[in-house]
Amino acid sequence: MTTITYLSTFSLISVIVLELIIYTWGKNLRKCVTYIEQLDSKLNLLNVLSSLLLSKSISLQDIVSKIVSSKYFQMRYSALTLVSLKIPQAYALTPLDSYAVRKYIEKQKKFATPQLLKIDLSKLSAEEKIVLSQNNIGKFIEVLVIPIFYQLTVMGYLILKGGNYRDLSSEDPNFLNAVGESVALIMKSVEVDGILDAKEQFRAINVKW
Amino acid sequence: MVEYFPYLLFLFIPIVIFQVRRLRSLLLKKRKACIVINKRLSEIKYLDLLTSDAANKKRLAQDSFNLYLDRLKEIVGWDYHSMFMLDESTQTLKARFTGYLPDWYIEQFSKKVFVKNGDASVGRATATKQPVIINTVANDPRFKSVSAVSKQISYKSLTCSPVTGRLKTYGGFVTYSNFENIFKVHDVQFLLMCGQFFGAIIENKLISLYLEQKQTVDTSQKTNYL
Repeated sequence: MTTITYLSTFSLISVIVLELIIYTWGKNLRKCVTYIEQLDSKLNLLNVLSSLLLSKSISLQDIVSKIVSSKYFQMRYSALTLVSLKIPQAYALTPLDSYAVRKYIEKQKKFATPQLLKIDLSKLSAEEKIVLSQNNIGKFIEVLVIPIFYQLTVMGYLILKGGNYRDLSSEDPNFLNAVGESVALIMKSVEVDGILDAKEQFRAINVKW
Repeated sequence: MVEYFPYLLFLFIPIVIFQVRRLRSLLLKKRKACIVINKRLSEIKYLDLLTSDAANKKRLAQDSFNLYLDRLKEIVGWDYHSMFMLDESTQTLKARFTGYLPDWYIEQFSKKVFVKNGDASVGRATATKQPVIINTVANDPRFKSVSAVSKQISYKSLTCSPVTGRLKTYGGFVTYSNFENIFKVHDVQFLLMCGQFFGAIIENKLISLYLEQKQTVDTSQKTNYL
């Protein structure tokens, strides 16, 4: 074999190895881009919530519809319930929501962080089953319960339901906490609207901070 | 077949060169992607800090905002930060909190030099409720009045965002960088979001304080009556 044959064999091997490296790196890069899109959608949801903090006389329905219309929600979840313990409730909880809240409270002995619950639908009561079988959901359903805290008091819960195939276990706790706390701030402003009229609110804020 | 094999070398060499170039561009893109991921994660972490501290009853505005501005540099980046309070009676802005800026800065802009609402960069941001970006301090005509300050502190670009609440605009918030053209659209959107959270936090603290005082007055009146 001549030197040139050695060289061409070596080049053939390099072409194959380099192509494999490019394929792996390209795959990794695609993963990075998807992750960046996901992070952007998270920031977008926080942006939506921060703009809700500026809007006057909003209702719980507004909070829900804004979250539902965000890209982040559309990408990962199928349904959302906002349970308020303070403001008169606008929504009737579905059996699954009330079951999720009950189970969450049972699991969390003291103060709490967002938690992912895998609910076995076969363990539900007869009444709950009737409603759920109508919805034709699989055997298990994943529900993410985010507690809404304001100064160590629970104001409510945000219940997010993933689709049947979504894996919600990879959620970032920092982000979920930020969502829960932003919703708490919005709910507090709704509550303040009920306690103080506009004049009194202006009197309260017209001081040096 | 084997005798033709050496001639394949002429085909492989350009392919290898092309592949090396592709690898180099992939490496650069990956490095950029990693920087973006780290930045987004730190932004979420900072917003988590803001929202978790928003309802903190024990911490006063003075302590909270100094902490927020310091943490903004530590978690997200940029070099200096300052927050201006809008005095509605005189329509001027006074420096209220700073992060990593020298002491004379707050002394000067809170007691000696007041920025008029609508003037300079921070005044414009407060008056229009829109962010103002100055990417090169040296060339920007909007920045002539305070160019001496920029030389002393040595920052080269800045972004001003309004601090707005549900009921009114509370002032402006400025982020400075030692590099030119550093603020991108995403950064400005993030800083605007921070300004909105700052506004909500101020409002929340003031209303909570008012409600507390009102409750105390009501209780003392009831006691007096009894």
